[in-house]
Amino acid sequence: MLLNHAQIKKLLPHRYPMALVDAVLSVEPGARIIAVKNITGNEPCFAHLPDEADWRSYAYPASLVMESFGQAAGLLYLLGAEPPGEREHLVMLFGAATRCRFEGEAFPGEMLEHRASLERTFTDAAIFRGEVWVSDRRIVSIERMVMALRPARALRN
Amino acid sequence: MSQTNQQGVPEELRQLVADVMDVEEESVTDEAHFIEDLGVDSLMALEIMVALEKRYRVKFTEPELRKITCMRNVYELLEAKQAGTGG
Amino acid sequence: MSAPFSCDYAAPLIALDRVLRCDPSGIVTQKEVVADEPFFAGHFPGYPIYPGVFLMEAVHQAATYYGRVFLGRVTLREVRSARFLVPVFPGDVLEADCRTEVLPAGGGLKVEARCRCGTRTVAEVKLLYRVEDAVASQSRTD
Repeated sequence: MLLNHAQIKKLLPHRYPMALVDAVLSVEPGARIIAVKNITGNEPCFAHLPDEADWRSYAYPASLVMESFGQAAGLLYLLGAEPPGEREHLVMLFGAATRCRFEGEAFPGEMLEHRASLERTFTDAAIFRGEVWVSDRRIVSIERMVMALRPARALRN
Repeated sequence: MSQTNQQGVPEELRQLVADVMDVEEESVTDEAHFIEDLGVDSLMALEIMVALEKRYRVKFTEPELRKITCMRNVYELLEAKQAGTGG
Repeated sequence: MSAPFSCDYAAPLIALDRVLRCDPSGIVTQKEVVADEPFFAGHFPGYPIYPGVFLMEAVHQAATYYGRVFLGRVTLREVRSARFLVPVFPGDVLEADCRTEVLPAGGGLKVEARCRCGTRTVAEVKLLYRVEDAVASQSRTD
């Protein structure tokens, strides 16, 4: 792996239970990233399922697949070609997502592989597209995702 | 750019913008204000810009972004870019 | 009608506290965002912000509830668009006002929602679903 989980936590402010990228496998700064998250039966999102729950109930929720992808995209932005300098006091928030097609699901024992591409950056936003794979199956294709960059001090209560 | 009536915005351009906004082409009239009339948010202006850059192989600057408030200025900005006269 | 909600599928949280209205044209749900929800500890330490994806999750859970009442099991096919306009914080009361449309010829279910805190629109979400069971399930209370 290129970045391990400890290194990811130096870049992203997300912490348990919202730290949804386990490792970065590869990056082309300013262009592309491949990052992964393993799905375990021990995820908080499975905690409320009753013992009789059908196996299909264990599909990792779409909203969390998207959040995990969004964090991979965030890492791509932070590992960008320009020096990080300015970016440290910016928080990346989910701004918008367009035409995210869900073709399959991921279950405990499987791994989400996020393939994100950076299309464009602006002073206060970054635009991505990409796909989420589980082994040789593409489970999500994301036409466009926009992350908004906001100064952290504006968001603290 | 594709065929256009005399001063009108080309259909292909209107269709592209409507597609990015995910609205009916008819609602994207030449003068309808994106934010005030079409309920588009500020991030959307950036998305429109990226779609235009990809389709028409031009590059916009952030100050030019602020000119994108309706279909007419999108068209005028794009025309100026393609003619090489800048924004 | 105000009905308690439960999930029989994996969910990052229970994204609705109550259903305010549910009829063939749509569903309106409500949730109080409270500071002690477990995910706030990680999003983010020192400055809790309700994750945008959980607004999408609220619409998804509302859509699934609607599906169970009127259509049967629905599965998410596409996030057509999700726009997170304004940050949401602990103390906010979130309302997801969802307009539903069953598309003809097995086209599935379209859900277009406006999420509000008070009078502010905080998100706009459009989701598309496959309807798994062609036969509508009996009306149930969960």
